[in-house]
Amino acid sequence: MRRWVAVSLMLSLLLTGCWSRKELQELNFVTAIGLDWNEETEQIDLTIQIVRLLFVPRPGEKTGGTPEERPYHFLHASGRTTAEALNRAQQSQSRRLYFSHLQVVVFGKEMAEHGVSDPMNLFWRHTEVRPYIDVAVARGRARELLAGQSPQGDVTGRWIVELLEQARAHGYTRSVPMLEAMYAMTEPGLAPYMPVLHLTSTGSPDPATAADIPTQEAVGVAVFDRDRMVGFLKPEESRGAILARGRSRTLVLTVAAGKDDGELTSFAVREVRPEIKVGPPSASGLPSVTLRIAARGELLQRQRIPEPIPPEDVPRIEKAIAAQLKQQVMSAVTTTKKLKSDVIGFAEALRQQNPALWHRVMHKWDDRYPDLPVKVEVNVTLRRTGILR
Amino acid sequence: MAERSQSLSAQLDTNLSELQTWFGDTHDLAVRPVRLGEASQQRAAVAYLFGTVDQTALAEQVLEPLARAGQFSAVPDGGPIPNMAVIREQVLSAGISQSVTEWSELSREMPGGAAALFVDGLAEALLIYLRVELFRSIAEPPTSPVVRGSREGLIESLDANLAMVRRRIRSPKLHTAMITIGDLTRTKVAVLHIRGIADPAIVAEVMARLRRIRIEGVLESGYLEEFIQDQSFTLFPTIRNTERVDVVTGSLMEGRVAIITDGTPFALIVPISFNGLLQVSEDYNQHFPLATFVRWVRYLATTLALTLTGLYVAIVSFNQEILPFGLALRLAASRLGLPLPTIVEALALEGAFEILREAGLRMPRAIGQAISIVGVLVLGEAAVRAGIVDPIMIIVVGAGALSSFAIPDYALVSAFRVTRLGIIILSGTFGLFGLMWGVLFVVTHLLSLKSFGLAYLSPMAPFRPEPLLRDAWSRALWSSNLWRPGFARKRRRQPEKNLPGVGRPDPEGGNRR
Repeated sequence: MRRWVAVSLMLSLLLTGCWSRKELQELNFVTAIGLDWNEETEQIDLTIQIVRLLFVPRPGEKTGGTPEERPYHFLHASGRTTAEALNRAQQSQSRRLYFSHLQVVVFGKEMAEHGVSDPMNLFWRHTEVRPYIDVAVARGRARELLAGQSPQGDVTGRWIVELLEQARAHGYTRSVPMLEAMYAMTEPGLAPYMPVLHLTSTGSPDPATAADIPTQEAVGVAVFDRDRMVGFLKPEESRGAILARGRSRTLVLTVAAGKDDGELTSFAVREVRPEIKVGPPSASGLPSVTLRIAARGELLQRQRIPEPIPPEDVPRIEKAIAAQLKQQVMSAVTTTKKLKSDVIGFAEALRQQNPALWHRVMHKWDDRYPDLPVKVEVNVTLRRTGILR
Repeated sequence: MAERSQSLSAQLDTNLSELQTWFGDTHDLAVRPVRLGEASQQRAAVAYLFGTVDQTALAEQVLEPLARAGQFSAVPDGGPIPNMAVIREQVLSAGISQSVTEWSELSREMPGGAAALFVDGLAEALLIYLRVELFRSIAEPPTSPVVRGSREGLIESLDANLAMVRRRIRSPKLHTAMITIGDLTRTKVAVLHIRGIADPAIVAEVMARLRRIRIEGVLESGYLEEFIQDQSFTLFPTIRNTERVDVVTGSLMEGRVAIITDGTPFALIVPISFNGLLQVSEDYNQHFPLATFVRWVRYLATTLALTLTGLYVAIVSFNQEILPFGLALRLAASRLGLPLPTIVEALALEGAFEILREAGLRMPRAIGQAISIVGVLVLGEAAVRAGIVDPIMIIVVGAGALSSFAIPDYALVSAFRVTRLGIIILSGTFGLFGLMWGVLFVVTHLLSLKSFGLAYLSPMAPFRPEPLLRDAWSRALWSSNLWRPGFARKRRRQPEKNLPGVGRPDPEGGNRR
């Protein structure tokens, strides 16, 4: 008898209804958030991209090209904090804003310069937001950047993530998860950086308005001092910095490696192994640092000479490529020294190889970094010269 | 009713009228007076129930020898018959007969196909067993077909079933005990085991539990199952039932006990484990890697049958964050505008499926096809068109139902069907948390079950790595499957490890076969 009473009491729990039930179709999927700093109102202008479920294409169906049929739309709201702005955005929504599928947070240039830590704080604490979402900086305003369209008309939040992932193939930038950016902002010696997005013309004008539909492009790196952006690296510098961090997978370099300038050679780097050697400290208190990069790859294209490469030419090509890589890395070092931001990560090497010294310079590393003597050595191995048929 | 005497009388007429009283003047009671020998004045009668006794055999083996009784030296011509033993041993050519003196015994045996011979002057009757074997031919069991394996199924006749088992295990070690259960039906139940392999304690326990049964009638082995199972209040079968002769013989060889009931093709097998219910006799017939693969398919299907619908409900109405982005949008888009909460939708579809299944099962075969068309087309398609059901929900419920039919044991399928409903309700109330709760509840319950002392989840719990590896997670090669399950008395199957195929190359060169 007591058993039945216990069972029926337990069953009565089920009668309370569906606790915290939220139906999938009744959620407002937030896929991208853009943050802009409004200098006049001193508030955050928020751009929220929301999926319009009705226009999510089925496999094989075409997506809408006109704004009325796109699978997403935007909400705009302002507030002193991100949370306040989000709450205002919710006022115009009958469905709950849902952040578990948030893909990317884009900071406008002003916002990044004003400081990203405060507005990002919300995403850091929010239970629904994943720590691995992408963060990026827009060259202009985030609002305009997000308004750009992908050529396929996909939900741009997701499309930007895929765009950043593909940076592996060209090396001009890389995708940085929020977790990594936040960590770099709080840990001494780590220099935060984010990929840069900007709008570019697709060259295909909208038939209705005859205006060019811009699309997003990911090139370059924004460098931060703690949570404030201090500058952009140029594409070649960004590539050098990312290469030096060993974060590139494949990238294509084109050098003039022949006897005359027109003889261009394109080389695909397939494998990069950077290594930082910290030498003994000099009189200035800082050690001299050697950045050794071993790159292996294959020849993709060689102009003008449609014949197999003689083996004696290989070292010359390797040297030319190494020289260009070295030049890219050196320019990255020079610029980051200027920006006082150790993006390449010499501090990490120092911490690992000379902890005692690191503890002495740790707290004023950003000021000491420009004085760090850096030597770059690049060694390139050409593994394949391609098949000539 | 008139007062009935218990013992037979020496007067033939008294006996015959008493017989009428015992059977209540029933229409199918036949009494045929005979003379023992042509010249004899000794009166006798043969009584039987129409239809239960083979008429040809009766004429050839009883009536004819009786008519020629005078030719036998043991019977004094014209003189009185001294006793029944003389007739039984020297006159009749019928196989089995038995002399009785009590009316109660006589009346119990006659319906089973015995003719009773009364002789004037003898206070006993001779029961001559001339049963008409009324049974269908041996066919492939419809509930458990196999691709490779014996096509013989048990039938309703106990004798035929025993013969089929005997033919497969030609050993004097196969032991049969007979017990009669049911005050009215007096159903014969045979308990089989192999001496030296089965644990005598288990056999004794089976016999004891069967003897304890007090029931008016036993029409099917399910009646017995409920009496003898360890735990009555459970959905899960702790006794296996099978129509397959090879399952019965295989189980006997594993040291289990089989209970065959007269009148049903379903034999009972004890003790069993949960894992055993997921195994099929065919596993042992086909090549071991395939059998292992198929077993894992079955384990996967079992998991899906229990949790798939619940998982979908939990994810769609609570834990949307675990979906990949593209899938989340696809699912949300397909559910856009649906009026019902997911759990209601899921329960409605499961309910529809249950009704469909029951209808398909009970309908005459010819209408069965129409049922499935109506069910699939009208219900499914129209519900989606009408916009009250999510097409993905139909996929999920369908896949769950399909998975449940990959479970070979029908009783286990039924158990999972009911359990699944509970898990759906928990998932729809508490999300994935509820789902885990439900699964843990089921697992805990399974852990608490025992089948004739054997832990239901063995060899997983208690953990026995060797049998788990060789006969649960895989189906080992017969040559290396050396051990019987732990409850068997004799553990070792084959004497030693004997590798299959070609032997080692011998020093002479060339291979020994």
